[in-house]
Amino acid sequence: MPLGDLYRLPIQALEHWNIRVTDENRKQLEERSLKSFEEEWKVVTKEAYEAIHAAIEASGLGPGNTLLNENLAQMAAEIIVNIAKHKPEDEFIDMCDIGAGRGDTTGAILNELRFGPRISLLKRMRIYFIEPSADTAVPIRDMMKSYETLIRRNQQVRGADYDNLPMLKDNLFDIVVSNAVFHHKSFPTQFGELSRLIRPEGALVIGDWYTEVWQNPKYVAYLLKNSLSADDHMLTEFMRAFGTNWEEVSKFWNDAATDPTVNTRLEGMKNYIYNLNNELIKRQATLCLVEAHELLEQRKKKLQQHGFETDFKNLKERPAFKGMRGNYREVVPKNFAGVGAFAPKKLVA
Amino acid sequence: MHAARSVRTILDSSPGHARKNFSDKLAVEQHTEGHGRIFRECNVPIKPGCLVKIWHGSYANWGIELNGTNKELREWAKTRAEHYAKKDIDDADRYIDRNDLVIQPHTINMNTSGSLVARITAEIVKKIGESRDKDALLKIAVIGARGGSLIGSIVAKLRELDENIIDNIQFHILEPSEKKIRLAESTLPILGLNELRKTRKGGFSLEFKSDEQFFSTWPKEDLDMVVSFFHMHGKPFPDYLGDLRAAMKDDAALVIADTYSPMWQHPVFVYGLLEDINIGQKILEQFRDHFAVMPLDDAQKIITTLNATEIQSLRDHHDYWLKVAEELNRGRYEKSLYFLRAHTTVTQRKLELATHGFTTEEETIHKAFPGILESQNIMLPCRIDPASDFVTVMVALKQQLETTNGG
Repeated sequence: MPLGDLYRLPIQALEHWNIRVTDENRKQLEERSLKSFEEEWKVVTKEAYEAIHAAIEASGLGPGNTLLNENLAQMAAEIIVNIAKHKPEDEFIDMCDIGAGRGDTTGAILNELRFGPRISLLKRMRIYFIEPSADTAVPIRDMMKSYETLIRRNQQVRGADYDNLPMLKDNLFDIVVSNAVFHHKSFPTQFGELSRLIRPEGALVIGDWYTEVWQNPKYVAYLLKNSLSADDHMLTEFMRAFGTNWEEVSKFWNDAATDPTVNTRLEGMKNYIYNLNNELIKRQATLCLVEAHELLEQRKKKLQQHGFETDFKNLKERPAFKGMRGNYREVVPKNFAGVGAFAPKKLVA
Repeated sequence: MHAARSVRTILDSSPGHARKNFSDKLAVEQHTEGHGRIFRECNVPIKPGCLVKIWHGSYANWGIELNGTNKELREWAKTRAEHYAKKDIDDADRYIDRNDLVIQPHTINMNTSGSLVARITAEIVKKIGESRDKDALLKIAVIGARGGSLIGSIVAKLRELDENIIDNIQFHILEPSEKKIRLAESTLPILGLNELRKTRKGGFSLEFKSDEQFFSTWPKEDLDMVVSFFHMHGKPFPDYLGDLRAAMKDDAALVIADTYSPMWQHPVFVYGLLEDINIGQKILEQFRDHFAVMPLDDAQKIITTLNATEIQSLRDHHDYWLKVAEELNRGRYEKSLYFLRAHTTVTQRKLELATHGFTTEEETIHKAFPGILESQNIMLPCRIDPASDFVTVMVALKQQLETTNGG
């Protein structure tokens, strides 16, 4: 597994990696980050995707993905029911699925709405899929076929890529959902785009995995040795580049791991990367190591900075959130994975 | 006389067409072996597999005449089906697990059914707990570990209803696949469930065994709940239901999520699937002749006996396996997947449960557990796709078996 482009790391971590982010260079760094993401993921083969899936299962993280989807669907369905109550009955409810993958997230939401009296809402749904990978077109189409009698075909619109987002009008969507996507994107100014695209009365529902493992090169050095069995020379060069040594690295990891919450996340990622490496070798496939996972609090801060309200006490009176017990559900303990619902700060005109 | 007893020839309505049904064990062995030979050399991603793995109630459509007197044949079929079911599990562990294939919308519907099962289980367990002593231990058997996510869902829903209830619940998770047990082992700590092993009274056990091994040795009237997750369609004979029922308390509930369709109940439907995967004219003709299939005639007769959700389930099931074949064709497959299983329709399952001392009547269930799923107005049985039986969740309760007085 090659390391990958360090500009893909979470933006708030870059200073630990000797990369200074200033107001002047931020835009350039972001463009570089997005370009690297596209280049690294454009060449990901079917075998590499299989390796990812196998590693997720082997690490015991598979059920977490299933549970993320399940909880996201339940939360999104609740919000859609609330939004529907406050929209005229002849108006569509516009939902966008970002990083739609094979349609699991949208399918889970539509299934939630298919129970009982909510089924009448399906006729009002208009769905936009944003997914850069062409391989997923067939599963999404197959998934949506089963709703054809309930959602007219011309209500489905497929977007191609995240690059499409700036071309879309303001206030286009009632709800945007995204599951396990934003950990690929370190400069999520898509959040800024999304706060523009989501209607003031609408919501953003995000499911994701959260971890600190990319925040510091010492964590990655530990992974290089223990998960990837990097040779001594490579490890030494890596540690030297970031001004550290094995004694510091080991102490850094072990000190962090004394907190059981942190330990769960670190061990989880360590096992996952170990298994991913093995599965990639088995399939003679390649995938870059670094991603943009961050901690939940860091994500919330980014959302706040890009125009979203994240605090439930400020959300609970909004129509979309009426009757909800909270706007965050922890799905995998120790905040390793969870689902959160947020709303644009902009007020209704 | 022996030949006349062993072969019952059924004359079809079309003159000159005859299907032979075999009731002698040796003849049935030869009949099933002949079926296997047809597919032995062909290189396709999906194949029928062992014939006796289908539901016993449809054996006659495939030329196997089970009658009450031929216990030897029944035992042979049951043992053979169990042998090949175990082989399928071992093959899935080594080569490819169908659960690893993402086939829409089936994958989504299965996941949704897991979520629904979790909700139903949690609501019923809470109600059962309310009728017991405060510190009573509640025991739940879950058949099918599903890597741990089903348990994760159930525990999460239970915690939503009552944070403390988990302390008094003992989960027994049954799983005959070694690979899935190991996966569930690695998942439990991540889902924060490992500590449940050491709760005050409750906890977890992960049991590497089949449902028959478990229920045949479990104490009578001991379980408060049984959850069967996509496992019953692997059981050609319903014998296990007796032991399962015996292990349940009188007010216990059985929650079943499964796939339902008449797909494997008549060779004409399999003929259609084989045609669509382009298995080849020679094999199609051999299959047709072996089972005396008259495609159009047979299909038309059977379709008229099915209702709309059953017909849709047939389409969904056919579509599913077609997509499995396409998916496998896209990649490498070291071994074919075998598709014949003991699927029934929802109606047939309800009847079979009734014969074995269960009721699935919605009124009875709501009387026993008032208010479950009320907030979402979900009817039982719940079809995940309302237009199709294919993925359906139902609840069954023990009903008192009628006793007859001696004459």
